[in-house]
Amino acid sequence: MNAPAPGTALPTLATGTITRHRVALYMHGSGDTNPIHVDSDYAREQAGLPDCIVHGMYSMGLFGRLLAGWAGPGRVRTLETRFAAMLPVRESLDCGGVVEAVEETADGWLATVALKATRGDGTLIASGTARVFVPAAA
Amino acid sequence: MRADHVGHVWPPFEVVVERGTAVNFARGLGESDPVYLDRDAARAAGWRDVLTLPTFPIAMSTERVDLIYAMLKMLELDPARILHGTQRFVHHQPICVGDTLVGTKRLTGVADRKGGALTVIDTVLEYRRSDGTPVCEDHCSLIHRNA
Repeated sequence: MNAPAPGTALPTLATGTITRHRVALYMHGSGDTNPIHVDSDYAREQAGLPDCIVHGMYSMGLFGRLLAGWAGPGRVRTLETRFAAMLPVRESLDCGGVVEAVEETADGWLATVALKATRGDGTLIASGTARVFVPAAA
Repeated sequence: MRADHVGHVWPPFEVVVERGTAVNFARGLGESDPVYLDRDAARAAGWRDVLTLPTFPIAMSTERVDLIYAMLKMLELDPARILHGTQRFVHHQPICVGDTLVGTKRLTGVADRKGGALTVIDTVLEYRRSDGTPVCEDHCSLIHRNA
């Protein structure tokens, strides 16, 4: 990869509908078995919500996918996320990133990337910052 | 005083990265790159086994969710009033299926905010190989709604 330039936008990761099945798989993978994510009766009756909500860490996980898809596997050095709002199940998320700064290292660059995850109606669900290693072209 | 507990360290624990867990984590997030899903593809790409995604350490930490409840009890805070404020991972080395890591959790901050309406609890969970090599850090801020 060439040197990333500040202002460069990463290709948007659009999830399509985040189905109950995906949330259930993520529950098994993450070990977060809070019923609010998979049991709509519980969400309504115990939590007073219209339906299940997606794990907050799911949005952060998508930031991880976005960054790894852009820079390549195993290159995310730091990833920080602030959780802004709950996301109901069966909605979709658009995750985007913009390179804010680039620092040269011995064998490539460290890019600082600002991240945002928004649902279909534009509501901010999560925002974040990451530092990602971009290797110099071989 | 709650702040007197800052610096508390829980006993280290061992965590083994399991294949089914790592693969379901990636499938649930909609990942299609086979290095996160298939051992042979991961090995063909030069990894020792299936690679985990950048936020996978949360699954390692969640295995010891009991430490969160123990911490809240120690701080006399109510789990039902807890929100996840911010989460940060620092990666030193990639994590693959089959890795055995040792996690050590430390309470790094307890502070009231917004005139006492909120209490923010900061922890760091460090993961190392058995020889002490640092692998990653899970920095978590929880928010307790006091009002």
